Amino acid sequence: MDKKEFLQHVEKCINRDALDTYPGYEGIDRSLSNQQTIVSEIKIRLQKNRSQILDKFAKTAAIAGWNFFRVENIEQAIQKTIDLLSSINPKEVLCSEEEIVARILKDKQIGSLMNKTKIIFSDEENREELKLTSFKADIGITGVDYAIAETGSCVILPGITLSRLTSLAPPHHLALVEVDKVLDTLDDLFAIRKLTFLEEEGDMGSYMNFITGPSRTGDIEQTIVKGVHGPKEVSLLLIG
Amino acid sequence: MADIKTKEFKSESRKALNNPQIQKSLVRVIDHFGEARVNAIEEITPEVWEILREKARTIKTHTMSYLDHYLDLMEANVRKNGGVMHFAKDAAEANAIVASLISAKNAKSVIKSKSMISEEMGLNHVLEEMNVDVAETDLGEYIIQLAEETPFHIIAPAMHKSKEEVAKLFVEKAGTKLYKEIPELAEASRHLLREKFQFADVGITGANFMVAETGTLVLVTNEGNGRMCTSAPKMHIALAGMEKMLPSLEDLGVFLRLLARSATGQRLTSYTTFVSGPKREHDKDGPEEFHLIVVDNGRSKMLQDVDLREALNCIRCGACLNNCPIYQNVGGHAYGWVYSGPIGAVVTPMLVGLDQSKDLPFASTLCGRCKEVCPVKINIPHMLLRLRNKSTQNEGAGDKPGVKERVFFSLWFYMVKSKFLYKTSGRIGSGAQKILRMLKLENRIPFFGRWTRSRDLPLIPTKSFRDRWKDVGTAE
Repeated sequence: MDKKEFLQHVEKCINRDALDTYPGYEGIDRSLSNQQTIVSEIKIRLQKNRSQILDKFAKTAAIAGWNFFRVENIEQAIQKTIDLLSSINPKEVLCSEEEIVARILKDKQIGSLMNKTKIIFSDEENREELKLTSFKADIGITGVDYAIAETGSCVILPGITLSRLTSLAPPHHLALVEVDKVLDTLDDLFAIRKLTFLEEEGDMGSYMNFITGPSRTGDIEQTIVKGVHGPKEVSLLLIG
Repeated sequence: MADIKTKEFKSESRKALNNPQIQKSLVRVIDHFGEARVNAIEEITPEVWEILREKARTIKTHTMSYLDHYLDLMEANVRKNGGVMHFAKDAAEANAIVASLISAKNAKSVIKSKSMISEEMGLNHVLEEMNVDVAETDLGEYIIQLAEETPFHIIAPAMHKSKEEVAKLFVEKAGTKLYKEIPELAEASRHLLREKFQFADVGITGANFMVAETGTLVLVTNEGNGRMCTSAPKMHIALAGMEKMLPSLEDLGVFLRLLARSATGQRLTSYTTFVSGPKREHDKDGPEEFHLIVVDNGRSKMLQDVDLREALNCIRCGACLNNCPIYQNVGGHAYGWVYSGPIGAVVTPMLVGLDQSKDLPFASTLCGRCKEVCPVKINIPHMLLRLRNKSTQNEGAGDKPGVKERVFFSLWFYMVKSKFLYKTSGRIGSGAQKILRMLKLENRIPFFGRWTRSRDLPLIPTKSFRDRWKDVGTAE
C-alpha cells in the first residue's frame, strides 16, 4: 500500500475532530540551544556527584552480571588485563581500535608475557575476515562510549574504530571503561544523544547498543543459562 | 496469516487443564515472573512506578491520536538515515514485501529474532515455500519452530515444554545427541545457530519501539540474537505493528524502565539495541540495506473504536498473562492464535474478527488484576465488557443468547415481579437443593448441566433476605 493511502486511512480511523480533548502530552523542545543547556547542566551534575555515581555503577554492574574491577590508572589496568587474560588463557584476542584499548593492549608487557596469544586489532582485517575472526576469537576487548550507573550498562556506538561483533561473538567480552564515561541515568544518555542528533543535522549514527551483563536465556524451564548466543562471561574494568 | 484456532477455546482449555506438564509449567512460570516483577517495583519504589505508568499512558494516548503524523515523521527519518520504510495494510501485503526483498537479493538463508507480528503474518511458512532456509534464533522461538507450534507466552514462548521434551526435539529435529541438562541444551543451540549467524544473507527482526523523531528502532533482548540479526547479515528487514510508535528519544526513558521490570523483573534486559538505518560508510560492519515494514493488519479497526483504541498502547510485557486467573490455568495455546491472556482476549477478536473468537472476551473473571499490573494502565476489563456487549448485540458476531437462556430469563423476570412467587420459589429451591445434595445429585440439575459441570451452584440460603431483615428490625 502506498504511504499516502495508508496514512489517510489511519487519519480517518483516528477521527481527531470527534475527540473532545487531545490528551496532554507536553511535547519536547527540539531546539539546539535548549538541548545544549540541558546537557551542560547534566555534565555539571555528573562532575559534582562523580564518586557517588561511580559507587552506584559498581553495584548495578555487579547486579547485572559483570565481573567488575576497578583500577586507578593505566599501569594498574594493564596489570589487571594481564591477570584476566592469563586466567582465560585465550588463543586469540580480538581488540577494537579505540585509544584506551590500544594503550593497554599494545603495551610491551602484554606482548612479552602473552607470547602464546595472538592479539588481533580489528583494523587489520577486512569485513568478511573480521566476521570470521570475531566468531573464532576467545575474547573481544572494546572500550565504551558511555556507561549508565542506574542500570549497570555499557553503551557502545559503532564507527570506524569499532566492529559490532567484537563485543558480541566471542564467548568473553572485556569492556574498558574510563570514569568520565559514566553517566548517572538513562535520561542523561538520551539527552546527550539527542544533542548529537540535533548537532549532526539528524544523523546520530547507525546503531547504539546497551550491554547490561552477559547474554542469557530462561527459555527452558525458567532456568537462567548464561551465554546462549552472546558472551557467557563479561568483565568490566573501570579505570580512573 | 497464521492459522486461527480461536473457535476451539473451550476444548483447548479443557485439554490444557488436564495436561499435567502444562499445569506444572504454568505454576513455575507464574511464580517466577510474578515474584521478579514485584521485587523490581519495590526496588524502584511503588511511588516512582506509578509516576512512570501515568507518564507512559499519557505518551501512548497522545501518540495514538496523532499516529498518522508520527508515521509520516518516522518515514522521513528512516529515509534520511538511508533506510526504506514500507507500509502494509495486512499480513498478505507484508509477506509480499518481505518476499520481494528476499528474491531481489537472491537470499537463501534468513535468521530471525523474535517478532510477534511475523507470527501474525505466518511469515516462516511463506519463506519456507520460497525454499529459503529460515531459522528462529531466540531459544524459545527456536524450540517452538522445531515443534511446529505457536508461542505459549509472549516473552517465554516455549515455557510449556519440559527439558526432556526439548532434548527429544533437538535429537529428532536438529540431529543433536540426547542431552539431559538445561545448560547443555542452551550450549547446543549456541552451536547450532552460530553457523547460521555467520553465513545468513538476511536478518529479520521485530521492534519493541519505533522513535519517530530520529527514525530509530529499538530491540530489547536477553540472548544477543537480536544483535546478531542486526550485525552479521548484509540486509536487515524489521517488522513492526504501526502502534509501536513513540514520538521522541526521551520517551524511551519511561518505557525502558517499565518494560523489563514488568516482563522479567530486570532493570534492563542484557541487550537494548537501537537501529537507525543501515551501516554508514565509515562503519566497520553492519547491514548495507535496512528496510522497515510497518503493518496495519487490523490495528486501524482498533483505532477506530474509541473504547478499544487503548489496547494499542500495549508494550507486550506479558504481566497481564502472568497475573490472570484464567491464563494461569489454561495457558497460551487455548487462546488459539498469536496473542494470549487478557490482552490477547481483546486484541485477537479485533485482529481476526469477533465472529471467529467470540469465547475470548468471556475468558475472564473480570477481577481487574490485569488492569492493576499493566505498565501502561490499559483498562482491559472495560474492553472485555465492550467486546461482550458487541458480541451479544450481534455486531458481526451473530451470537444471540440460546433458547434456554431466553426462556429462563423470561421466567425469572416474571417471578421476581411477584413477591409471592419469589418467596415461594426461593423456599422450594432451597428445599430441593438440600434433597439433591443428600442424594449427591446437586450438580445434575436439569438445564444447568453446563454451568454445574465445572462449578457448584451457590447454596440457596434457608432464610431469605426479607426474613433476616425482619429479624434485624425486631432485634432493634
